[in-house]
Amino acid sequence: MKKREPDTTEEALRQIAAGKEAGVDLLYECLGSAMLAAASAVLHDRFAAEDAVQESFLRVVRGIRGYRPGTNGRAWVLRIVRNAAIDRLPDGRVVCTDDFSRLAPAEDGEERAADRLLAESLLDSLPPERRRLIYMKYFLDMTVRAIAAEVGKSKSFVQKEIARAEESMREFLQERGQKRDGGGY
Amino acid sequence: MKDRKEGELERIFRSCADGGAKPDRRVTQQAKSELRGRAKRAVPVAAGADGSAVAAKRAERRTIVILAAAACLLILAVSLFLWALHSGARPGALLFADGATYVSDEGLRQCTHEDEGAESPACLPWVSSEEIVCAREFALRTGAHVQAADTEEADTVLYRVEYRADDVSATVYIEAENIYLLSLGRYKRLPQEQSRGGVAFRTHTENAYTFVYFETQQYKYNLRLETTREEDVDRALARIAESL
Repeated sequence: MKKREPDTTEEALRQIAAGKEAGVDLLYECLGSAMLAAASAVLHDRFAAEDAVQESFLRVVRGIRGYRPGTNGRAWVLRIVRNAAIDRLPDGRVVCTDDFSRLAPAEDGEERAADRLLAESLLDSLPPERRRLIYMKYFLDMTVRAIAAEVGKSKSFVQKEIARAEESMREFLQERGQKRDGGGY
Repeated sequence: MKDRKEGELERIFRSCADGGAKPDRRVTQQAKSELRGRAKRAVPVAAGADGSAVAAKRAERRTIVILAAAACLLILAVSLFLWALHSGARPGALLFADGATYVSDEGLRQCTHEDEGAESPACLPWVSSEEIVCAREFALRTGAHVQAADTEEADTVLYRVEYRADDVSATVYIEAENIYLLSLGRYKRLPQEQSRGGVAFRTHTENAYTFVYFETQQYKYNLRLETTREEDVDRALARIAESL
């Protein structure tokens, strides 16, 4: 399932490039939630976020020639969503992009609900700057280069900060696992 | 390598991002409409079923070429006009405009020859030959490339006369009909107007001079009196008006 999603995104973009409406539906199915989440993180408003997602689908169709097949389609689409959302900000400023409390709750199953709570806990354990970097890397699929350009820092700085954040979260998971094994969670 | 994600972390975050609510499905409608519209537009051109698109494109290209050529010609004409107006780079740098021939000082020198020992010209009836200090006339050179209306080779197109009458020194430039010396343009714009004996004068006093402009059917007179006294100016204008 995990490996299938990128291929599905790729297939959706390929169909859109071929002018097939089915590609739009496929993109909605595989990335709709992530697109809404990305837009919500910027706009903090469900309706405004849906407008941004609608605009994003249109931008994907219009800009499909700019996508190089075989590269990271998810990151390409989510970048479009984020830009569309930023364009809708009244003053053009990017607000904090790590506010998971504003995301719509998971719809299916306890396992995903638990993952969502765990994700929130992991992010809460990080200082705001590192939280932001992790969000960009894991939720928006941005590369280190793109993140560095976004935050105005060097690539090496970003890389080190992300590594420290990942180390911190690994430790958090280990502690949590030990507590759970010990019946403490 | 540096963009590689931690497996467990990626699973958790991906599950969180992708497990959230989806937007209303109608958010895809505009994108689908765009694809539908694109398909409709694309068919005739791709199939070559309708030549109108090609013809329209050609017509558009032709229009652009014509407009570009017209713009170039306009720019060229304006450039030539300005160049000739401000330079005397070649003999006979004369131009037509509104029936007059505009000429720069340098252009005048190049297309005329100067006769310094000229006598009192007939077009200066208020000045006797005794009163003339210096008279020059500029006649068109033989072979000069001049296209002024109603002018022929050897025609005098400008007189410059210095004279002294009633104890007032004066210099007058007399332009022949259809000749307009650019450096004398300011005389035509003198601010004060007065009429004497049927002659309309334009005057202006500045520094130690009084500038006067008037014209007859054949000549334009650009007069500089070396006085600012009103009675001297009045006497000079009266004398001119009586003689014409």
